[in-house]
Amino acid sequence: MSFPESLQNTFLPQEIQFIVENEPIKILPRITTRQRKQYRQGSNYDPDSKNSHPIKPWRLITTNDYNVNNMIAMKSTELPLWMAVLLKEQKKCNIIAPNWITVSNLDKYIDFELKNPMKFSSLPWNWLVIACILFTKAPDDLTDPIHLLKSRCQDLREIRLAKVQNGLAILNESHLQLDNLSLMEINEIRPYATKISDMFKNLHKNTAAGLGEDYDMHMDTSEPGASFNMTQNP
Amino acid sequence: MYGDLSNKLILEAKRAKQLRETSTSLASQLTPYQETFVRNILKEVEQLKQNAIFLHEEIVNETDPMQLKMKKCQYYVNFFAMERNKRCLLAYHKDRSDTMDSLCWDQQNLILNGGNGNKGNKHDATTLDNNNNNDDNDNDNNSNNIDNETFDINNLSHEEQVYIREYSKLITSLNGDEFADIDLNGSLVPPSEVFIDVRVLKDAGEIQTEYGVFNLIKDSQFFVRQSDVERLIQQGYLKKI
Repeated sequence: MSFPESLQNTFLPQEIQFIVENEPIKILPRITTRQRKQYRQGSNYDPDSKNSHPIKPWRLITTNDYNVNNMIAMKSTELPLWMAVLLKEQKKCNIIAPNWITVSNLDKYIDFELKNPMKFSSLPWNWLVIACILFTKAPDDLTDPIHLLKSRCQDLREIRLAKVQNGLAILNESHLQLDNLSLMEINEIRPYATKISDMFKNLHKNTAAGLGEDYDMHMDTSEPGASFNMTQNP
Repeated sequence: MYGDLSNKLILEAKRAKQLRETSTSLASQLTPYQETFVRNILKEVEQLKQNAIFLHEEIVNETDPMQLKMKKCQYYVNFFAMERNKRCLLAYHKDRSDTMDSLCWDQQNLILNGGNGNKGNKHDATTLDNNNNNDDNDNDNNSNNIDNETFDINNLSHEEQVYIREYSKLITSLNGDEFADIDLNGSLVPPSEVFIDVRVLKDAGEIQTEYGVFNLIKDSQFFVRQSDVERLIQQGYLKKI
């Protein structure tokens, strides 16, 4: 098919990264793109007459381009992550790491994770991807030594993974609560969890229908979890 | 028993599917068409149909209610056997057509090797130029018969050969008019880097892309824009580093 089967039900990790790269992030630009007054006066931009405007303002189709055209060196501004990474690669900006990527903050998250075995700490939904991008693309912009941060992130990931695995034990036919689980982590368990809970659902529907007066297996008479809940203790 | 034959056909389809999932080579993507199985199943269906006609006449003429019940039961069982054969045949063919569809989408210039491979009969090689409007690869590049882009068209039944041609024509027309700006056959992995390093794996001479000329000498390395060379990477000339 036009869309390969492996992609039909879930995202690739690269696609997750693509989604996350649209998020804004703070940077310290090293270049100034704000134009001086005399250029800005004729603000009705006309692409045909290049002579009247020696510097063409950039235009972005995908995002708001106001910040891109108004960067002042060493004044922090917000850009989409993909743009920040692009500028960072050319050494035209420094990325300001988000608050949570510091040793002390990560330690707090780890503490929370350890004290609450039934909960996930409130890391941002994209923490894995952001951490990965920052560690590879902008290691010099982080405030703490990178090996400490990396080990903290690894710890967090392992603790959370263990919790996810525990949580899969209570997979059932009606619902699953995954507060504060990040997109990447959800993506990892998606194929498994949805498939199993679909199976539970079918099983539940069929048993409930078979036990009632109605022997027609195809008829959906039961509401999930309404009367007879066999899947709770298999 | 009726239906045993279709069971074998389905097992065959399953085996082909497993092969598809485990191996990446194009040759294993489509296993030979199971002509004999299909013929035998059709024969069985024909026989079942004769039965049905006979039973139908019996039912119409029957007066004894007990006998009528029995005849009706026979008629239904007969009908279900037919139904089962139909399901199996359809499943097998749908599986194959899905595979053919994905082949058409994956391979930019799918070369259907018409002649028997061992005879080296290159005159029969049919080229399906899915994308010639997008890429200026001249034709002798396509007929170079790169190993991983050919597969034996004899694996397909005649109807399937017609189908695959028509389907790739459909894709071309879709690429042609409405979405000419977007390369629908292109890579589905989101772009992450604008410029990449590529290494040339196979000598290909001078290749003209939309954005300029490359001289592809084996083992040379280039630093190029990803969108320029995406097609060449898919065809196996270049390797991304």
